[in-house]
Amino acid sequence: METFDKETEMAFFQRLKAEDKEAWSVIFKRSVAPVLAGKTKNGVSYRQIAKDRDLNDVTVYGMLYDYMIGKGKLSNYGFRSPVVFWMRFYVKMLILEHCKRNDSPVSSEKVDSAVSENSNEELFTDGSRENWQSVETCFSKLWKENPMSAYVYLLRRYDMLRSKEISAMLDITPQNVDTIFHRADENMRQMLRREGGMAV
Amino acid sequence: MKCMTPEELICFAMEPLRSENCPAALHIAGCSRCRDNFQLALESVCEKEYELSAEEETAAENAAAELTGSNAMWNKFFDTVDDLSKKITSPAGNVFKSTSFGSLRSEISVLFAASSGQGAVKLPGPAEDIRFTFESYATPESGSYWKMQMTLPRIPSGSSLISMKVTDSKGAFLDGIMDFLNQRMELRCGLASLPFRVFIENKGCREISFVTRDGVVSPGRIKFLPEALR
Repeated sequence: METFDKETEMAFFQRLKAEDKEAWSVIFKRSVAPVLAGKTKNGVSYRQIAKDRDLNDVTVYGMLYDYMIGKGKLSNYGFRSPVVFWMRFYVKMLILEHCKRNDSPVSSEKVDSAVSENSNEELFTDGSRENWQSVETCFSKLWKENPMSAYVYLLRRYDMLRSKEISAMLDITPQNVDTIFHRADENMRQMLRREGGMAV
Repeated sequence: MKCMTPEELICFAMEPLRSENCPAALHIAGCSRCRDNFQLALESVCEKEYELSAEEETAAENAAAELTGSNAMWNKFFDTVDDLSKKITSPAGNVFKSTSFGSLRSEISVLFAASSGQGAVKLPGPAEDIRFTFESYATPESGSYWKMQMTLPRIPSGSSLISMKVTDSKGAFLDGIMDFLNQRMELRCGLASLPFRVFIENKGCREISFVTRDGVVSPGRIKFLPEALR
């Protein structure tokens, strides 16, 4: 994974702010191109989503540039993460926002589900305040005892990443991810029963 | 806990297992908006680097040159408009000299030549109109493509009008709504106009969108096109 060096990022950010041509070329290579070559968690290619809305790589890049420079959003960057990651987030957001503004002949459902799946579902509980407090208590205990277990539980519970992706990120095997999740799930159920909250 | 910024979500995605991250994890669990955004942050962190082909590399460099150059043109253009707005609001300055745009013409030409790599550009003569071109993000082969030419008045005054002409990729006039400078202008046979004063008052607004008769919203941007100066 990308290492973060604040000094390097600050220097790079200053070049972007000064609209340095080479620095902005790097953003195309390291932020725009990887996103367009990638897929949403539902397997829809971002390039295909953009293409369905009459956009190509260069126009997506133009949208990012106008958002960052034209609208001055670049100043929201806080020097806490690599600029290229931060820009990737906005490339995705701009493509998806562009989709939301218009109906499209294809992919609409897929795009919606890519960004808002489970958005109405309450995690762990039926949504009542008391149950949520129990969940907070139990999840905090789980996190304190074993952050990896709690994090895997969060990712899997919401289907944010597949076991294979989680395993690559946390440097463990996919089988281990599944085992960790099932144990964490069982742990949470037991703790919630003890707390008197609703077990999932 | 407040909703998290994209950068906070990226930080969390990069180093999730820190003990102090428990409140962030809980917030993400309980907030659908942050959960959606965390999904994007996770993807952004996990994305594989992409190896550009030589052709793509060249396209990237050209696109960067075009974007940085056009933004400089936009800034220069509005600096000049700023100067004009000072004159227009002064009691004695209701009418400008026709040479008001003289320096703008030459400076834009230099910017265009530098950014496009096309060398010297023929400047419009003093009697010719100055036009700026805007173009949709949508590609020319698509149904939501549009191009707008905005013509500035030769001798701007408080009552001058800026005329706009909107066409498709084949040059046919388009009907619809142009959302520009905080104004929604209805286009009839591809034409619309805007008081120069309104233009000056909204000069900070750079967003431009064309809404087709079918309701498709097609945003765009100022472009460095050769015809921009003709």
